[in-house]
Amino acid sequence: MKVPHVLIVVVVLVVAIAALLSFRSSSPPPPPTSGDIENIINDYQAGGSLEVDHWWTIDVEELGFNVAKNGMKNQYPNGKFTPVPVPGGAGGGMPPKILPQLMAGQAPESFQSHPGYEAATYEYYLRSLNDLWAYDNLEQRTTELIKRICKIGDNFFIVPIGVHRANMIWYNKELFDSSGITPPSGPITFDQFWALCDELENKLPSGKYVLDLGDGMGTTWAATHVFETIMAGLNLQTYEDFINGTVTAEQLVPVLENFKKFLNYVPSDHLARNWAEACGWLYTDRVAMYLHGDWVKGYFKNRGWQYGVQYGGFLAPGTSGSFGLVVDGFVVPEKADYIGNGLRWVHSYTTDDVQREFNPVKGSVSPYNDIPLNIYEDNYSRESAQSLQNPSTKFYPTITHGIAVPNDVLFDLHPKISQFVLDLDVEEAAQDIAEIVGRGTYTISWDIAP
Amino acid sequence: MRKPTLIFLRNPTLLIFLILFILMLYFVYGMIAWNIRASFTDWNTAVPSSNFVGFANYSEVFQDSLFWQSLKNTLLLFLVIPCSLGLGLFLAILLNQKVRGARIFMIIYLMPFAFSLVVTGKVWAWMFAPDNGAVNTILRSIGLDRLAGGWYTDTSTVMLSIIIAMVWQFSGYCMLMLLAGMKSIPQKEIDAAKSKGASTFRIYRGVVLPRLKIPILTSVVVVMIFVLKAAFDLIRPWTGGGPGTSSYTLPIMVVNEAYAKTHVAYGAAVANILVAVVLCIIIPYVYWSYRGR
Amino acid sequence: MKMLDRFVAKVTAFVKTFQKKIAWMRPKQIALYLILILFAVGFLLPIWVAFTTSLRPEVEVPKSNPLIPPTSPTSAAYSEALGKLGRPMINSLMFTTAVVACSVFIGSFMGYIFSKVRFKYSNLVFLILVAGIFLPYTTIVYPLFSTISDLNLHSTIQGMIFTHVVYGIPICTLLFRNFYTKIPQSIVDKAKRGGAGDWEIYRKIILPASGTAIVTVVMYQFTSVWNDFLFGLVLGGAETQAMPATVALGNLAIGTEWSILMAGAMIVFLPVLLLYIFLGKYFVRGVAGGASEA
Repeated sequence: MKVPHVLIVVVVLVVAIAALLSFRSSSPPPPPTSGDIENIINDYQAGGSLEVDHWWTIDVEELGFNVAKNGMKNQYPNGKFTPVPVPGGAGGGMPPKILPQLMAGQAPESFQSHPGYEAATYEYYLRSLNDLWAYDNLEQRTTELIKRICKIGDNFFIVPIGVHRANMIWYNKELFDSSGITPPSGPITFDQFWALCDELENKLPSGKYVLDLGDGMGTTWAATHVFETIMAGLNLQTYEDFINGTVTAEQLVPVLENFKKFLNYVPSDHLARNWAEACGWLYTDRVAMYLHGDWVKGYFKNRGWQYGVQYGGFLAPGTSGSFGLVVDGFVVPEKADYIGNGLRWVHSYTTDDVQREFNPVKGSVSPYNDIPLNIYEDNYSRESAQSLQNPSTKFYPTITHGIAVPNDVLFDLHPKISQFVLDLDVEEAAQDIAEIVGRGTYTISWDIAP
Repeated sequence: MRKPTLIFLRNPTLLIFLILFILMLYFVYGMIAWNIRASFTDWNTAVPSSNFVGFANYSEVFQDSLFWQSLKNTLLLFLVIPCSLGLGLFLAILLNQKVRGARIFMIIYLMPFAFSLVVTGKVWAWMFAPDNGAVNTILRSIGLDRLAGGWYTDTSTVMLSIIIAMVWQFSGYCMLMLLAGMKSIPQKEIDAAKSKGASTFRIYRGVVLPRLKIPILTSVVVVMIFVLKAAFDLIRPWTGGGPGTSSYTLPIMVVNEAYAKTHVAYGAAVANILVAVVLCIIIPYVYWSYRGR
Repeated sequence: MKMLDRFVAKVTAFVKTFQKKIAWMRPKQIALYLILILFAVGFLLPIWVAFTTSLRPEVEVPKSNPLIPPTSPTSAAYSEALGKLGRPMINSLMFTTAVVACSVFIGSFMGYIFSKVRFKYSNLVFLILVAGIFLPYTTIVYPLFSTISDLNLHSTIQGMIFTHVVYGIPICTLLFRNFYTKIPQSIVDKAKRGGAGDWEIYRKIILPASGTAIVTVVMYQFTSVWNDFLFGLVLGGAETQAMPATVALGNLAIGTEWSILMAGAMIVFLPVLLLYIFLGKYFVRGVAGGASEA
């Protein structure tokens, strides 16, 4: 009786193990991708698979990604393109998803990242893209600072796809009109801004607010965004010291004082709304202004609002002539199965056709200087693109979106900013933030102050 | 007391048992061992590193005020277990009476258990919205304005809001387990107690409650599992650990350290402490529950 | 005319019996129902909020009170959500049902061993097993992915099944063991003296009596696996590579279009609810059966 039992069990086990270890639907072994970049890019018949992890999963962001996806498919029709949407944005689902993959040598062909320190986190696993930058002449096509942030040490590791501007204040035209206030059209100082806020506060009916923060529902970074914009507006030297890791508590005090003033005009339940819902309040005439990056345009466009008609924007106080640089891009890991496809992907979205279609849809501005201005739908994007290509613009890299400071400094900064928003203790926050900044390891030395 | 029977080395049984047990050992204890090893290294970037640094990570953890706050909040979350049990017991007692449509009520109380935690957070954010959320609207309409506070936007009530949301989600399961336990008590025993003149309360205390030891154990274990999951899945998308850091929990800290900041060794140290704390709380209880079985 | 008379007679009879019932209901019973209904409303309120939002046109969401149903409901959110959730729901259904089936067998088998087939130190071994229930998933992502990818199981349905089954072993064992303590040892001993082996006892005596336990485990394990997020995120890939519904829901949830998220939440929640309703029947029956057994 024992023998047949054992036999059955062994057979079942073997079958089960075999089923479990069944390799995924047969893919031929990847072809070697040695061979220079020219051959790789020009191999328009290339097959194989292309897995791209990204966080542009909803709304206009998804539409934008689909433009790039279609662009890739048009250029290289034989590949099997598998986008992998990852929830939570840059600080959300991407790190726990991509890091184990990189460490286990199972990387996708490409994944989304931000230039500067965020991509530098993964540097060890990334393939240098110097040959691609050279082949596509990207150095001549982009601005100085963009080049700077796409490089880690001597190597380019990321290819930018779109640029957003961080230092904007958006306003609801209806509320301004009904309060009899003209929105600012030129550069605005902090004093002028506070005067504007006071006037709005007096004129707006109760239940409507001057500013919102949008740092609720887990998007605490919206508060850090305001913090950095105020810092850039007050003193670019402070900003530079901050991102070089040498800022002192004394330097931070005026920034925090102004931040505290800002928070006076924010409703007390700001934690009930994330950045999109703050836009929602602007959209439903409950708040007059919102300081945030220009990806809000996608939100408004999706709901039928047009820039210059129902809403407008002006540069944050003290930041006229400045451009808070937020750049999106993709990197190519070394240990992917079909590196060639990864390279073809990052190449494909730098082409004229894709850039022309992608940016208006996504609401961003092209990082490349050979894209004409007439592709943009409204004045804002045209001005923004012009500003981007203007060599006398003062650029500064965003802290909040992974570019200017090391990741561990950034993710220690968020809770501290959140704490400051809560207790408004300037002294303590200045000390704590200076300490956090000082703890980081800085491998980039920035020079952005004029 | 039963005499343990010796296994007569029944090959198939032993084989299957061993395979399953070894699998479990690897995937649970093997992973814990990895964490332990990692916590003694200096691996704090995306590049694995295995230099031994002794207890440096742990001493840093114990000096980190955020750690203590997270620990306190995580322990606070364990209050969900007795609260869910209590509410579940209450509902089970109610449904144990002759009630028409008991099954419909059961399903309704069980519905929250089926909800995804991410969505629970968002829905309760609406419920608790300070100016027009359902909770405050109701409180104000019955004159309890003083209680209509900031809920999750206020450091003093954020953990309470989270606990309420979790109790909403898990008490249905407790109710189910306890009700099943109550209904499996033979009617004879209850009748016997009744005939001896015991009041309903004494019946519940003396006859029913002791028989509920196992369903209570099941409920505690299951709710504990879900509380640990919810400590991250529910809280992160809802409050992000805020306001400030007043709703930071250990799982949130682990994820923040080990993934966002790539301080893998530090995150592993926190993770180990979390596992140790959980086991210290739950294992004695489980052991006590099984004594004599 | 006759029909009208009959109708009136029926209604009067109904009202009479209703009146009798009300008069017969003691205040205690009325209070009981009131409390039950109160709690039911409380439990349903958040779900109601999700439901109304899912039917509300997106542009109205920021300005509306979630408690009030929309004046012009639309199913646009549902069609959009379904488009994104279709394939992931199928993925989730596939691996969740497979996991539940495996877990039932494995759990009952292991539960039987720990409760009836005693061996030296079996209690200690059981405690070691039970401790494994509480391993927080967030702490083990790195080594887990490494192992799963070494087995080439990442981004596959088999990988999801395997992982969830393994991590379900401790809890399902506990749930079954709890139940089997009710089966008297005497029955097992009698069968043993009659010459039956462990496997036979398991097949012929234990399994058939496991009714309620199976229902409990199915309910728990289905919920746990269906709503799991982290493993799906880390071990799953794109839609065609075993992305579960929860991750797809997360992709809907970045927080700009709430009506779509709520529609998605309703869709994802539906299979579990249907399962509960279906199992509820067996639960009550099985439980009542247990009482009459003893």
